[in-house]
Amino acid sequence: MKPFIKFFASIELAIACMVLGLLLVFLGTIEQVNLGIHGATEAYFYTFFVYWNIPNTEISIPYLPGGYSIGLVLLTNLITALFVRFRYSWKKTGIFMIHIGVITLLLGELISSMMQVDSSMMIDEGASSNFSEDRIVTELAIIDHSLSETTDRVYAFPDSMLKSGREARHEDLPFIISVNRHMENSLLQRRDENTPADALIANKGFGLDLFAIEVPKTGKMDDINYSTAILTFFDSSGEVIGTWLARLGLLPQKFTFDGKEYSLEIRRQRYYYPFDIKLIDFSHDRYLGTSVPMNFSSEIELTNEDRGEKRDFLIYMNHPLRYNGITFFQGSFVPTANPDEDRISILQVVTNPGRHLPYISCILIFAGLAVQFTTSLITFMGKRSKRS
Amino acid sequence: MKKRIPAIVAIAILLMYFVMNFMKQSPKTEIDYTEFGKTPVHLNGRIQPLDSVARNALLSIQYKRTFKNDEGKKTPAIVWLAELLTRPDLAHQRPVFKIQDEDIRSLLKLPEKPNNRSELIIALLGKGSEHFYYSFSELAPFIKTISEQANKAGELESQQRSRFQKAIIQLARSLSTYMSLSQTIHHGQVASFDQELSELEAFAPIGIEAVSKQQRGGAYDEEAFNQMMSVGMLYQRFEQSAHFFTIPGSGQNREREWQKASYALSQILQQGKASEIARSYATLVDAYRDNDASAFNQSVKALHADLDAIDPELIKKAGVEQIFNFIEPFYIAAAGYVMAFLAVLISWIRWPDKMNQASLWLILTCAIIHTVGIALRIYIIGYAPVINLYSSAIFVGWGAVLLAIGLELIFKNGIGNACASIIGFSTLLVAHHLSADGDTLEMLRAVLDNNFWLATHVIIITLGYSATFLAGAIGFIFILMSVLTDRIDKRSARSIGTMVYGIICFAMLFSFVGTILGGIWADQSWGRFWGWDPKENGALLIVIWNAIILHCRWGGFVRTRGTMMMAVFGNVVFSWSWFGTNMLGIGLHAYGFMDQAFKYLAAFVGLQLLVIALAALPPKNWKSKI
Repeated sequence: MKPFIKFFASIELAIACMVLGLLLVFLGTIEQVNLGIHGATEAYFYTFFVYWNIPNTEISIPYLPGGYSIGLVLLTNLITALFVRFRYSWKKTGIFMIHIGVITLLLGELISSMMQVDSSMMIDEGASSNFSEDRIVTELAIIDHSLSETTDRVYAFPDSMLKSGREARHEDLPFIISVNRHMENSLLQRRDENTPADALIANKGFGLDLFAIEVPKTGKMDDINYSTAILTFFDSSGEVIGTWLARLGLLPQKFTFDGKEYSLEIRRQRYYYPFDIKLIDFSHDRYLGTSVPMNFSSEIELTNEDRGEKRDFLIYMNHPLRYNGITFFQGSFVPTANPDEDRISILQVVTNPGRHLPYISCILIFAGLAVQFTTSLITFMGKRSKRS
Repeated sequence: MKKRIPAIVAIAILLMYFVMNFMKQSPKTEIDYTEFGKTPVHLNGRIQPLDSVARNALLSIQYKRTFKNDEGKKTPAIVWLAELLTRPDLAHQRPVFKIQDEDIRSLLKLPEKPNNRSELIIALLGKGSEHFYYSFSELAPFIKTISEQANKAGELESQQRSRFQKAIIQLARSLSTYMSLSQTIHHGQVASFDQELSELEAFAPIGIEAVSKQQRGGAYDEEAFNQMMSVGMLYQRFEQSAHFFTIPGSGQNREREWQKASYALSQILQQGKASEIARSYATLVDAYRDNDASAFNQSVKALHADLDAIDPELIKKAGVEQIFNFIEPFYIAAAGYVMAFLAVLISWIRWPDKMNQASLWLILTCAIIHTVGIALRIYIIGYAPVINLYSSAIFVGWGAVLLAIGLELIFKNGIGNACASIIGFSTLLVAHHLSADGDTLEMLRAVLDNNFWLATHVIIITLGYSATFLAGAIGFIFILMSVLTDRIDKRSARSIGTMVYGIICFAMLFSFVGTILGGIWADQSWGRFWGWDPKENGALLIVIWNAIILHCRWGGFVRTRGTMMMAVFGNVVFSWSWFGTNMLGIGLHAYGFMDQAFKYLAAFVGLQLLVIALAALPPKNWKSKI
């Protein structure tokens, strides 16, 4: 066997991966106190290397392999070992199943980490919705209101296009958007005589009264990153139309250009669906005399006109609606003073092409472990009874 | 037969202790407190007997479930509660508020009280361990100061609070519970509750007429109108202050339609008279105030009859919970595990067979009591056994004890007994300290309220924890015995090695499957299989560590000694996953932030590392030659 194949198939490599994994998971969990769960996951698990920032400098050095590196090496190790080292015999059926189960599990997590989309859909009782909003990613939306009374055209630019100094354009838009500055998170302040000069460039809309200060990004569960951009619009001849301050949470800002009415806003990235979900009733009970929630449920009506479908569903805890590869869970709600009057439901919307893999792996691993340890136990008991 | 004498004597002692403890729960007084304690009320989202209300309230105020009566005798909490509910003026003189923090004492200028601690104990535990008990009357002048300080401290996140700030918040909470209990079944503004109800019944038609006339804008009886308004305000305050619900609902949703004692006024205004239940409570209050024991007992009987008429299940369930409280199964089991451990220790010095058998019998008895305790909790709350950190401690101990009994039956070398008794006692001790917040039988928030997953994921993973802890405990004992004594020979070393290997395999199976099932539950509830939540990561660490041990063994990198050292390190991983992750206070699973516990965790981890270091000594320095 070639030495490097032997190395990749070795049990030593497996142990090394597991020890590093142990260390990584431990450190990553501790770091959640500072970075939040999402932040620590990005910095430790969904990355090839974990970096340490030398204090007071811009220099970061990798000091630990990240989740992707360890996972991929372990995956390689398992697969090569399966072909090279294991010699199949009925006695090893259990071991085989366990290792295939672990491979499935790792693949499942790899797929989820890259392809899972998590968003939420907020609906008021009686209203319907055909889109959900990303929980983290934002976008710049330019909306053309000139089409008709009921229809708008939306041009959405994802956050990744809004880097400072870049330009955003679309062939159907009669202007070019230049990004003066982009902040991943910011605080909003009122303009006064102490406002720094570089914050004064906005000359339209909210920017006339307000300005934003950049603050570090947060990864904590309940905190929001207020993505902010200062944008200058140019017409096709390079003439300045105006400079706006756009920030997540600000209302859309209207402006007119070339006789057409537009508005601009930074909002959570939207995902549109070819069907409508109408909230018929939201209910929420608490245990008597406490604020502990006892149950939540949303009664909804799903309409898909393309397919001519119309269905009623009751979504409640542990009972999601699965439709078209999309899963709708009862996520939360907008609380009001009186729980009986709560009427805005928030559905969590998840698409994850790898979501079935953990189920398969669970069966494989459970069966494998059971087979393996039962056979060992039987062998062991047999030996003991022979000895005595 | 002669061989079994130690075993029989040991069990007899334990059972006698059990019976004596049970008898102690019913005070021998003219007032039938046991019957009174059985009365079902609604608190914390569930129906429970007054006996539980009393124990949990006293525990959260005084950190003990009993108090000292006027003669200085230990008295059950229900006696204190009966007094607080009906004669708060007397209860206010009882020193039940435990204050340990010196800064609080100096802020409130509270005097130090004589206590019977010896100089030696104070020197050993440090000055900070001193605590004193104060009565409500002593604290009453400072309520404003206390609540101001507590509000200030409450603005900080719990991790940032100082010891003083935590203590003052706790004290403010205790005072609030106490005050609200004192106005739960009567507001205390008039001497006779029963007479008050009769007067209200007589006055109701006049009052209602005055109010309706006033609303229509005509001439009305001003005095009656004003009286009606003041009664209304009094009862509104009464409703807000009451701590629990006393009047059961009777409709379809009867669990959620309980009413507080102040509902008597609504009954009078709507139906002309108060319900039987409200009346029985009123006569009960009056009887206590008149010191009339037989009238009190009579009212309790009448009250139970009325409650029974509404739903016979009420008294039955409350009665079961009261019996559960009286048995104190986990306390008795903990005491029994200590006895069993002593028996193991003796067996190592003399009468190895007899004492080992006595130990095993004791452990079996304790395991039965332990199981009964868990079964009663399941019956009372209606959920699978593990619902919070407290119950997980009890269950981890239970699982490990059963596994250790299995080992003892197979290997018969005393190691299983030693582990069962140590783990049984230590997990129940941990559980005892976790119960200090009060009611451990709590209702589950919606997202966790699912018996299928509670019964699969939670149980399986907790058994995985049990096994990991058991393997660590065996390793711990093995290392101590073989380094410090010459009791372990080659053969027993090998058989203990096999035990640990088998237990780690079991731990691997359960923790792995349990973790994946948890992921599937999360996928079902939140749409994600794995969220890198601290508790999930903790479970993953246990799986990885067990996998590392097994692979090191299969790869031939470790033998008996190495396996033992790794198993002991498993205790470190286990304690982190089980406790440490809760100390981070983040994530969906963070069901109890405990900072107090941190130093105990650190001490536990330190001890494990010390034992691992001991095992790292070269084998030639070990007393046993393995």
